[in-house]
Amino acid sequence: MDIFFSIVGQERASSLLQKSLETGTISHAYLFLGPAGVGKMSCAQAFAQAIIGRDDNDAMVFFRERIHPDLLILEKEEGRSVISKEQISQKLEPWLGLKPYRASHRVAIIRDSQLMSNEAANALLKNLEEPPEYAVIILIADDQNILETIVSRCQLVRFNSLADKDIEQILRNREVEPLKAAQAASLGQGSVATAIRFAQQEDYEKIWETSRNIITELSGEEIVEVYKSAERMELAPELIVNLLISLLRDINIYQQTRKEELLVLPGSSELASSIRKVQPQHLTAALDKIMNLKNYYRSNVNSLIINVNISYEIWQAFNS
Amino acid sequence: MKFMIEKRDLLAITSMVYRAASNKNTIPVLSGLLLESDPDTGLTMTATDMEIGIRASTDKIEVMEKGSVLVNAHYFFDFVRLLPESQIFIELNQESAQLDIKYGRSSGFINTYRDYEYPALPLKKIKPCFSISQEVLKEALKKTVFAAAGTHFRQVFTGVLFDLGEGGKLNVVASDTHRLARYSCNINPDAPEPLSFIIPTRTANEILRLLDDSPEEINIGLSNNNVSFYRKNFLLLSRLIEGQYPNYEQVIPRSFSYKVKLDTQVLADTLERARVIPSDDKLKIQYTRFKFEENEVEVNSYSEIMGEITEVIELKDPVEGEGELNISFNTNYFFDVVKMLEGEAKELLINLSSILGPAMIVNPQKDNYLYVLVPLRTSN
Repeated sequence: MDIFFSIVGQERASSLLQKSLETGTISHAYLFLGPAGVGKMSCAQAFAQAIIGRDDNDAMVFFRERIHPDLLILEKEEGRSVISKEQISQKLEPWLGLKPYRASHRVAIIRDSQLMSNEAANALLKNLEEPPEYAVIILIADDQNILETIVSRCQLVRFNSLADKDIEQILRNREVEPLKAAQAASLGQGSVATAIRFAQQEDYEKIWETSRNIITELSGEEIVEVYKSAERMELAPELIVNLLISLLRDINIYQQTRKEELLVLPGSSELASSIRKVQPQHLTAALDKIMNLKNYYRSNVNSLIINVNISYEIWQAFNS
Repeated sequence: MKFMIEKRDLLAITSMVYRAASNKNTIPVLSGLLLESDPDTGLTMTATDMEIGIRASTDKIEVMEKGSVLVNAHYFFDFVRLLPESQIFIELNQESAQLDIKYGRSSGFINTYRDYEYPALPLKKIKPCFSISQEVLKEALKKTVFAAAGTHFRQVFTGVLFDLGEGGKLNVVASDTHRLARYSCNINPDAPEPLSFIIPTRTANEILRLLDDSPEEINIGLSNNNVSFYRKNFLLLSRLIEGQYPNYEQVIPRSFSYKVKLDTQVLADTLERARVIPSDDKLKIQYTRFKFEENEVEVNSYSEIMGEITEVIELKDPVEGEGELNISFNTNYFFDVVKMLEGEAKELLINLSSILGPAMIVNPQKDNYLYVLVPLRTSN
């Protein structure tokens, strides 16, 4: 059976892992690197289940209940912005110190490992240098912000952004209606997780409408709109920012080329024609900054402050 | 399922087993206690949180109907513990999935878990290894487990080592690198090949609770990853700690410059008073300074905040060794072993080499136990 059948669009990664399972050359540490929400975690879990399932025939029962004693998933604790050293030294290390219970391997998955504090990363290094022979550590990371010394001790498995049609397929598999699936897929910008959030959003229409309004208002001259928009974004900050980014790109392209076939979102051409013209270099600079700003939604920052910053970047692009 | 049992028999087996169930995990099966009744085998209870698992059974029971049921281990234990001393009648109500418990004219029920898939204990790969008298194992663990580390980046120090050498000589060792306790004994002569394994301290403490003070033997079985302690009607399964235990024989000193015999009771009282003195800001460990002179020992503990205690213990036999020696020890580490040996030894033999050399504490009447304690380096 192909254990990676449910992982769509990551053929390179899954064939690499599949091969190492077939030949039995499983390395002690993997780094799954790629954009957020493209299937790294699903892939890691499938891989872990395959490793453990090789010598534990009843493993599926335990996976279903999420209690397999030889699988550990380490995540950032709620209310904290980093994975702390204590999580490594007091949770992971003692766990790795015990021999396997049912299988012949123990698999630890560290989710969002880019969020490890420096102390945590250094504590992890010790484990990566001299792992017990049964240990498999899978690090999952969204970006390159990881100690070089850790990267060099792991086998790197790259994950790419997904094509829209793959995301659409995944959404359809989850019984999302076709039209919505197509729209959400193009909004996902290569990330299934984002696309699913769009598709599951109940007030989808409202978010859509809000985002257009924000662009219209911010393209005006009134600076007070920066604050008004920021408040409106509170409805669903991350989703709206993603939408804004897509819209601004479309506007940029349409205002330069007037070619509708190049646009991602339906109806952006009307929006683009209804607002003031914007200098491409200003907009590109603003988009760069917004891409950076939106990463802060995941850390311990008040979302309203991020909204204000993002709104200001957009307003400034139109007004300089 | 339907059976009748005396409360004391029910409590005996429940209290053995329930502690293996997880009390933090929210997943039902792991916080559950599995009861199985069968006219042929009696009543069997199993609990596991997958770190350790315990199974016990009893035949002092009248089984009317075969069956099995999973209940919350801690609720069940609390209920059973407080039942009156009488015949208890237990029956599973299939329709409501409640376990009815009747005692005298009173009754209660406990809700059970439905549709559970209980994780079987992985016993298949376990091979019988050796057996040891329960009272000896109990003494061995009691005298060592306290010396293991609570947390340590080298996981082996958070466990207790069983080291079986040639000819059935068994060493049970625990250390946190600042102190080391070793208990030696001989097991039956047809002992297997030399082997060693490390059990977690939690497992050691659970076994301690479950062992009898009897010469009756308990068997030990091993697989690659697990160890099992079992006797008739009882089994405990635990995971092993991975890793190579350092060569502990190397850290046990062989020659000494000073030897002192101290009255155990007097030393215990002195150290207990010394423990009143809090630790300093500089050195976050409570410590006691010893000054060994020819005919007496001065024991001093000092804190800038709280005060100071100085005691003089007069010696019956003079110190063997040249000149006086000043040395400091972690008060609690010293106290632990003195307290441990208080019951059995009237006098303790303390072997010392130098101000920073490790000390060795033994009961001069016996040679099966030793405790190595590393002194502290203090500013004065």
